Amino acid sequence: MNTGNDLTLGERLIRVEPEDAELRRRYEEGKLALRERRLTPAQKAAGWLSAPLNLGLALLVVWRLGGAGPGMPPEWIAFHVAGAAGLLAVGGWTLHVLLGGGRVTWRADRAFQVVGVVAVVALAAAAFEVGRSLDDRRAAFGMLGVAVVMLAGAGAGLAVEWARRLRLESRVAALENELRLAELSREVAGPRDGRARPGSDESPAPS
Amino acid sequence: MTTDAPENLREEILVLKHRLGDASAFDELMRRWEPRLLYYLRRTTPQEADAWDALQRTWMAAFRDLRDLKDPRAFRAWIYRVARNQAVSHLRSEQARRGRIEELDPDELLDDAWAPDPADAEAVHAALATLSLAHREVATLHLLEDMPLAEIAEVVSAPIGTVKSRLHHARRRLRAALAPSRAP
Repeated sequence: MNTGNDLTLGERLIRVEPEDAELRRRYEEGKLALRERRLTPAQKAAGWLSAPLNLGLALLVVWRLGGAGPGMPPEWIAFHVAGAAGLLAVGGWTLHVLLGGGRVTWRADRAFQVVGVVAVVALAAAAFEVGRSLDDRRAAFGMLGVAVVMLAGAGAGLAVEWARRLRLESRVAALENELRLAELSREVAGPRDGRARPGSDESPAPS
Repeated sequence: MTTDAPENLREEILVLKHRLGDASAFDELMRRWEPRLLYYLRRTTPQEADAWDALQRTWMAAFRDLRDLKDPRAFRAWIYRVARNQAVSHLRSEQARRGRIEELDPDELLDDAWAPDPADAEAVHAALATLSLAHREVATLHLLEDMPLAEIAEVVSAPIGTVKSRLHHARRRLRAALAPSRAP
């Protein structure tokens, strides 16, 4: 921590000027808005299209499940239920966000991504099952194709995200090692006029 | 030029952690940069309220666009550029943006030997207010961050020669303003 005599010109300049407490308070309140993001108009439009589609498909799946009778194997019943639940979750979540003005927290965003992937897989399974049950071969082939595309898309998205996170985490680990070495070198070298920038760990932010 | 390697590494780590979805990383970046950016914005906007508004919009833009920063090591120039863009949007209709800049030979060398004494911070702060916006902006970046010419040019989106002449003029004015305070 820099003492008063060790402050750089930059650190002293920052301390010269008093700040308005009311403006600071309003600013701190405004920073809370960073905890959430707003959907772009294109995303909102896509949401208004996809939400009823998801809910409609969920109803279709439930209707087919209801019409299947007691002869449907249990595993297919489970697929239908999972598909309907996933579609309802995605459609319901999308509507919730849209009705809230298109605002969503970043943490909820991450949760939605997980739910989204699960829902896409469930939807693909539902589409596959629908395709299998169709008598029209052309329609059946199309529906199976939809299922394959969904699964491939979900898989590719997961792979890209996994690779991105792996690259970043590796880079962070390497930098943290480099940082430890740099700090160790500084300790070994002994105290010197190592001026830290204002607001850094070694220089307290002005109140 | 700041050569604090551990600080640069910490910032690079924070930028990458933000990209990994670590909300506390961005909080830490805000804590580190808030005082300096606020000081810079108060030099480049007419009122303190404008500076606070610009700072808030700076963080919103930075939070949204930080993932697009190709080189995390260039964070300093990038965040100042984001802040400047917010200040410029405030000043779009201000007369100060059309203020006259004294013509100087851009090849004229800077007086590298002169640097204000940190003990003269209050006098430097007062003298900054007497400069035109364009000069005040580059002088603030130079004095606050010890920022090199190339980086200042990147922040203000101007040729290095223009930045050099502005900084030379600003330093000359500051030196003259500080001279009476040093008279015995």
